[in-house]
Amino acid sequence: MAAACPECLQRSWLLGELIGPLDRRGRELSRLLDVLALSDEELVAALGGRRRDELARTLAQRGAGAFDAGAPETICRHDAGFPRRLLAPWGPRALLLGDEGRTRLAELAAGPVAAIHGPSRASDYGVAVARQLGRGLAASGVTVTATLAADIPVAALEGAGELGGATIAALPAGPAAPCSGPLRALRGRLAKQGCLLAELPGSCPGRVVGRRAAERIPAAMAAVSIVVEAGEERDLAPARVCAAAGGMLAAVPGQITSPLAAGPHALVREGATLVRSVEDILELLAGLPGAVPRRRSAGRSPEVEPRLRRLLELVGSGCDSPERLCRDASRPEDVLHDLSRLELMGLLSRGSGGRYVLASPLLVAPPLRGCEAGAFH
Amino acid sequence: MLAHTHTFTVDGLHARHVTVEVDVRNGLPAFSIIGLGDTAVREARERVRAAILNSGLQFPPRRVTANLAPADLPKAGPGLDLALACALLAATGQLPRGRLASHALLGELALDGRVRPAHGTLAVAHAAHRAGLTTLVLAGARAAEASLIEGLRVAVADSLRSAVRVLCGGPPDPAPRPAGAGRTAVETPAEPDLEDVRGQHQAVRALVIAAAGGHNLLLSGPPGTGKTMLARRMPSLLPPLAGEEALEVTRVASVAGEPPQGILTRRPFRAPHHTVTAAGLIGGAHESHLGEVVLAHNGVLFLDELSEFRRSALEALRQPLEEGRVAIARGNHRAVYPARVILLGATNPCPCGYAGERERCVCSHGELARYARRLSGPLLDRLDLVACMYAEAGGASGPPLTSSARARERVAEARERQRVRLRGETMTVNGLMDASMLRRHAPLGPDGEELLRRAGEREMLSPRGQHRAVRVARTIADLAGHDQVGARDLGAAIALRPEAVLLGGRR
Repeated sequence: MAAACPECLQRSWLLGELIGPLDRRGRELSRLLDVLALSDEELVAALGGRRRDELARTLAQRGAGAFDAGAPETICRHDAGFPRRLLAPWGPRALLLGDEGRTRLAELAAGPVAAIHGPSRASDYGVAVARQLGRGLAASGVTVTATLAADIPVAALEGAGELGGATIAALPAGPAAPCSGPLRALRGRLAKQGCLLAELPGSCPGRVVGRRAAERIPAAMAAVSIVVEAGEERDLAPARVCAAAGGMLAAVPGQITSPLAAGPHALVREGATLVRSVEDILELLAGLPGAVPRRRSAGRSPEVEPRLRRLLELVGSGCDSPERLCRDASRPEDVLHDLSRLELMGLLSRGSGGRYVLASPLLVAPPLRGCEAGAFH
Repeated sequence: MLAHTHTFTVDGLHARHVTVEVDVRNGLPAFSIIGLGDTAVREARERVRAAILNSGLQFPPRRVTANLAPADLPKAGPGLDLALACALLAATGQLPRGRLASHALLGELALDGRVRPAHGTLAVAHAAHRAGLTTLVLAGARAAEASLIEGLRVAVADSLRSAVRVLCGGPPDPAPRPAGAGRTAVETPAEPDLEDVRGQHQAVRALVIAAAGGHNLLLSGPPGTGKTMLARRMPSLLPPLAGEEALEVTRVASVAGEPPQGILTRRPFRAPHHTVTAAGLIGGAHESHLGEVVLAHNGVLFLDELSEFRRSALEALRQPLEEGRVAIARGNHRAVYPARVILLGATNPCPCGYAGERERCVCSHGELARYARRLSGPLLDRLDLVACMYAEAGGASGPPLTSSARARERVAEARERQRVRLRGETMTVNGLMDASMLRRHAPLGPDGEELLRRAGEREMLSPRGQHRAVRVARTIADLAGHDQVGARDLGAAIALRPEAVLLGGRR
């Protein structure tokens, strides 16, 4: 079985050794990219500190030796199957993969690939949109790629994973590093269905810098990067990487009053494509040479009674608390009953603070009247 | 010479009969008390000696032995002083022994001979009546409490000399005029009214449901949305205490040593601070110590900032919430107290308090997970419904949803329906029904069964959660005047499930 060359694998080992200094100095992705573009020797000189001599010596000794990366398969930039878009100087030298990882990566990266990005803490709306986009793209045969960290990328991977779709998940830490219970379960599912890749070795904890570094992989690898929510400028770093790697940028609009919608709105002003549905993304992908996705059903508007439909629309327009939904109802228990029915139908869920969240926000058009009192009754 | 008197020692909420036997005979002057008395009982020697001498009576310069029978029953508190002194006086011929057989004596002696009231007067009066004693001699401050027991004569003696006079057949001291004499309800200051609450209509409705069915309720919302304000209005929705319930609550207050108020008709409302320990919450710190959950019996236990309470304290609440009683075993002491309460909890939805308030929440995932873990598990399973409160739902203007008086009427009607339906059962409210009672008294139609089945399949409700939902649905139907629990009642109850708030967050 082919594997990454020792020189490239050495880079993963070195990143693991330098994760502490890297975490202190490379939390901003733009700065991190400059650091990651350095050669091994330059990296040791820049970040080695008191261990500089020791690391340089070990590097020299390990040069031709085999480095145990703690992963079943590896691939490096000298391999023909390595994703072309990751060959930038700041790109990973080697990727650590799971079982049959090389084959799966080649298959999944050959088709249309879409990356989904967002901040570490997103709104319930953002999470629901990401999950629906992931599900819709997977249903359409598009490979969904994202970092296995933060609300929105994880939601997108979950959505794609629910349909058994194609996924490429970039791990923010080493492949054997522990993670929280729910994420561990998702990682197990994605490992069976898709491709997990990591840059850091063994059980190296990723810390913040690991997540930042991992974000550049989906951003660079995908033909289209979709930013669902972004608050601060650093949340837009993956979008900048995507643009630098020649990918297309798309953004999901949000409420103009929401700080988490500021990033996507700024991207749209800068020229990113505004996407409101999975179809919008498929159109973008269809315009790319050699990347015509198979069009499956990406989801249909739910068939529900007009009264329930109106409730969905109200929730979609931000009228999402039981208090506001029951306002002016002659018998609030009836509204609560309808909300429970929608929950049981899988069209609504409960988010932070008990607010109602649309399970499929992109399938429900907002109402014309908005959330004024008496809009429902 | 030998004489004996009757008194009682308080054990839990009950009083145990104690016979005080005093033997006076020649020998070196000494006064010893035997019979498993605690420190307060042992110290009675000095109080009794000083009170007798300062009342102008004779303390014999002989060997005095007092035995508290039964000897294997631990006795506690200073309430045995009066009986000890009277037995000693009878043994020395200063009191006729014949009248002592029908009198119970209760009171602590001051050094100047005055009689001070003792805790647990109501329990003692009840026990004295059951023991066949005709008269209870005690301090005037607690006379109103004792007079609640019909068939028992209450004789007030504010001093040892007065007690001697009563036991010689003389008139008792005049009873002081208490705030609520005898069976008259106590005049209490006005309770806070629901009319003061503007907005938060869903939370007010949930409060009414909880009051009507005796359900445990969680109020969840950001700081300043009125959770505490709403909780403090809960007692104003509950029907006044009557009959056996009132006697139980008065007995608890009496044993706890609360100021005498006659029979209590207002339901207790206890709101311990979140630093309370498990012993403070359920009792047992020492033999006569009652926990907050016992003091809230037949009323409301309000735990503000629920997530800040110690885990051990919250876990200790599981038995009282499940069984309506607290069983405490400490060394050689074991007691069972009633503890049937409506638990009201108030909590912020996250450490910063603003989860659900758009992007105001700054908590990390780890903080949210740790916060959710504090309330998850068995205690959460015992909360029947949740009221979500939001900043945008409140406000100082706008009409109130209802007043306490109107809400109390609805609650009373719903409770009357429950009382009629649950006649023959051991409880009178829906919140206490178990699974078999639910099958008998809250059968669901096909639509309701289907709704419940799907909620279980989608893991929205655990099996215990399904029972909770049916109980709440039964109360919603009672408030609406429905004989049968409809699917709409059940759907509303499912929307009010606590898991929706506490486990609704992501990861």
